[in-house]
Amino acid sequence: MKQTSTRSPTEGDAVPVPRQKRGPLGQSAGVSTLQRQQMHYGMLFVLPGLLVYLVFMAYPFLSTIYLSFTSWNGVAPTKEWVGLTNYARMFTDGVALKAFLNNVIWVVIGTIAPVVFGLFEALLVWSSPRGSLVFRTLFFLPFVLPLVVVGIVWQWIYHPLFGSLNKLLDGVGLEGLSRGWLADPHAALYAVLIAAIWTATGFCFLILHAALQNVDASTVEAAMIDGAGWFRRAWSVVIPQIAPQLTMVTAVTLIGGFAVFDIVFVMTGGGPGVASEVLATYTYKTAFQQNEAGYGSALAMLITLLSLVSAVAFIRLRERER
Amino acid sequence: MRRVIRPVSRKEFLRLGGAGLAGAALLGVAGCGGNEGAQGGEVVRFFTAAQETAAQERVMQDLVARFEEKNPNITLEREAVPTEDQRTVIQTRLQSGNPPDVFSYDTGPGFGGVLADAGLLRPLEDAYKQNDWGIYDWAKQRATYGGKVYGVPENVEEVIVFYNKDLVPEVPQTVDELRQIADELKGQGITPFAFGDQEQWPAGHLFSIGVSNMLGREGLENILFGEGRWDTPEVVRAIELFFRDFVESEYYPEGVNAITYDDANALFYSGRAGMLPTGTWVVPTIVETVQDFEVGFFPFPSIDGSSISPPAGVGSGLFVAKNAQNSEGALKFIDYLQSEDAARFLIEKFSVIPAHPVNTEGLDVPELSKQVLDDLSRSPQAETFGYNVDVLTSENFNEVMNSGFQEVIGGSRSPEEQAAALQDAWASSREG
Repeated sequence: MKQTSTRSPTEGDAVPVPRQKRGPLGQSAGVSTLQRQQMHYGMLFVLPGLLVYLVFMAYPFLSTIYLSFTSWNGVAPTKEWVGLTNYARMFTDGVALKAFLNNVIWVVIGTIAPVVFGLFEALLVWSSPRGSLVFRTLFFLPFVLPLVVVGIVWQWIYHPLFGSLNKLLDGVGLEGLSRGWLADPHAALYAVLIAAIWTATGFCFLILHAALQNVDASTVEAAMIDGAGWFRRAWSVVIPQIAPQLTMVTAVTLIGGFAVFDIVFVMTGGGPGVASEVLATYTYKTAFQQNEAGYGSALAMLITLLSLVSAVAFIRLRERER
Repeated sequence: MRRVIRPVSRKEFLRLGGAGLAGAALLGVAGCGGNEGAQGGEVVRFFTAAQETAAQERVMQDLVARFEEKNPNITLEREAVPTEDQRTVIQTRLQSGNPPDVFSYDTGPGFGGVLADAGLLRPLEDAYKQNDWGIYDWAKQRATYGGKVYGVPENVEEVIVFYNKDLVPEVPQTVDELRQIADELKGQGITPFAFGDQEQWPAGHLFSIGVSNMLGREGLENILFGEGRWDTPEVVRAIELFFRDFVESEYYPEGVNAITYDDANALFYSGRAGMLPTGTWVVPTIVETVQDFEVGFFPFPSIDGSSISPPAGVGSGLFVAKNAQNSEGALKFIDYLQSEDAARFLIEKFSVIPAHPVNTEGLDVPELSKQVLDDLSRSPQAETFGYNVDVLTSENFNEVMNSGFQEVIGGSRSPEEQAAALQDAWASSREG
C-alpha cells in the first residue's frame, strides 16, 4: 500500500493544505493532485483535436514527404525508392517551370493588389461613416462566396459567346478588345487573377477595417491640425498603427498565392495549353490524372517550401523594419 | 457552498477513452456493413459514373430494379459520382478495405490497365468461360492487360459528325464540300461546328477523326501497336486541318479554348451551330433535348482523298474488385447485363450499342438511334473504322496531346511542333 504523508494543519495555517502524494521514491511529486487531475481533463479535451491533427495533417504531410522520394503511380502496391530523382526532374520540366513563373506573377500581383485595394477601401469607409454599412457589405461580399462560385461567375463574365465583359466592350465601341479572355494564352492568367483579387480584397478589407477601429483618433486629429493632407495622414499616422494587421493580411495572401488551386482549376484548368498552369494545378494533374503520385508529391513539397520560405522571409523583414 | 470539480481518476479516464474508442470501432464496423441486405438477402455494391440528365438517371435506376426483380435475394446498391471524379474516387476505394464489388470504368491503359497492373482487379477468364459471355473478341482485347482479361466491355462507340438537317442540306463526301457548307453557315451567322475545348480532351476526338482518316485503320494500328511514328506529314496535316485551318476559317465558336464541351453541345442543341463532331454517347441526350429540328450524322469526310474511317472502339467496361466482398453477386450483375433483356432495355433507353451481338428485331428506338445502331452494328472490327486514340494511349501521352492541341489552337505552337511533341511523349511512355 502506498504511503501518503499527511500534515495536520497547524494553528497558524489559515487555509488547509491539500494532501500531497509522494512519488515512487518518496519525494513530493511537486504537482498537486488537483493539478494532476486537471491535467487529465486537459488531455481529454485536447485529445480529439490532437487525433484529428495527427490523422489528417501530420500523417498525410509525412506520407507526402516519403512519397516524393518514390516513383509510386498512385495505385501500385509497391513504392520504388528513387531518391532525389523527382526533385531533379523539376529543373528540366518545362511545365513545372512555367507553373512556377505563373505562381511568382500570381504572388506578386495577387498579394500587392488586394492589400492595396483592401486598405484603400477600409480607409474610405473608416474616414467617412456615411453609408458605411452598405459599403462594408459590398466590399466584404466577394470574400463570403466560395472560390468555386467566384470562378464560375467570372467564367460567365468572360465567356466568349455570352459573357457580359465582351457585351460591355462591344456596347461602348471597343469591339477590338473583346476576345475569349480565358482562351487567350496571353490573357488567361491575368483574367483569373482579376477574379481572385476581387475576392481577396474582401478579406483584406475586413481585417484592416477591424484594425482601423483601434487607431487613436486624436493622433489623426492632431495631424489634421498640423495641416497633413488625407494621404499624408493615412501614410504617416494611420498605417503605422495598423502595421501588425497589415503584415498579417499580406503574409496570409502571400502564402495563399503559392498554394492557389481552386479558382484556376475551375476557370481554365491551367489552360489554354499550360498558359495559366500554376504549381498546385500541375501537381493535381500529375498526381491524380497522370498517375504520377511520386512526382506530384515532390511538386507539393515544393509548394510547401515556397510558401514557408516566402512567408518567413516576409515576416522577418517586417520585424526588422520595426 | 463551494463547488468542487470532481477530478477524473486515471482509471475513469482510461475507461472513458476506452468506451469512446470501442464506440468508434463499433461505428466503423457498422459502416463496413458486410454484404447482408436489409431483408437478409445479399448486397452487391455497384460503382459508376452519374448519367448526364435526370431522366437518364431514372432509367439507370429502372435497370437496377429489373435486375433486383430477377434476383430477389440481391439488393444492388448503386453509387454514382460525377464522371470527372470517377478516377480519384475509384482508385482510393479500391485501395481501401471496403471496395465496391463491381464498377464501371474506362478500359484504356491509363484507366483499367493501371488498376490491373496494381493488382486491384479480379481476373475474369473463368467467369467468361463459365457464363459464356459473347463479347466481341476485339472488344475483349481492349479490357485485356498483360495477357489476362479483367473487364467486360459495356458498349461500342463511334466518333462522327451530327448535323442539323434544317441547316445542312446534304452530307459532304470531301473536306472541300464540307468547307462549302461551313462557309454558307458562317454567312448565315451560324457557327459551322459546335466545338469547345476548355476541358482539353474534346480535341483528342477531333484528332482521332483526323488521323483515322489520314492514315486509315492499318496506318494508325502501325503507330499504336507497331513501330510507326507520330511525326509524319499525315499526322501534321490532321493537326493542321482541325486546329489551325478550321480555327482560322472561324468554323468554331470564338474563344474555342474557353468554351466547355457542354456549352458547345448546347450551341448545337439550340440550333445555333450546324454540326457537332463528337461521339455516339450523346445520342440519348440529343434525342431527349432536341425537339425543333431533325438530327442526322455522317462520318467525317475524306481529307485530300484519304479514306473515311470514323474512330470507333470500346467505351467503358465492367470490372470486379480484387477484394470484392461479394464477387459472386458482382458476376451475377455482369451476367444480367449480357442478357437479351438488359441489352434491349439499354438500347431502347440509352441508344447504347452493346459489345456483344443482340437481336434488334422489333426494337422501339428513335430514328437517330436506329441509324447509329445500324452503323455501329457493322462490327467495329470492320476495316472501315479507325481508332479513338486517347483510350489506347497512356495518360502522359494524352496530357501532351490535349494541352498541345490547345496551344496549336491558340497559335503558340505549330502543327509540326505538336507532332514532334507527340512522338517524344510516345517514345518516353513506351520506355516507361
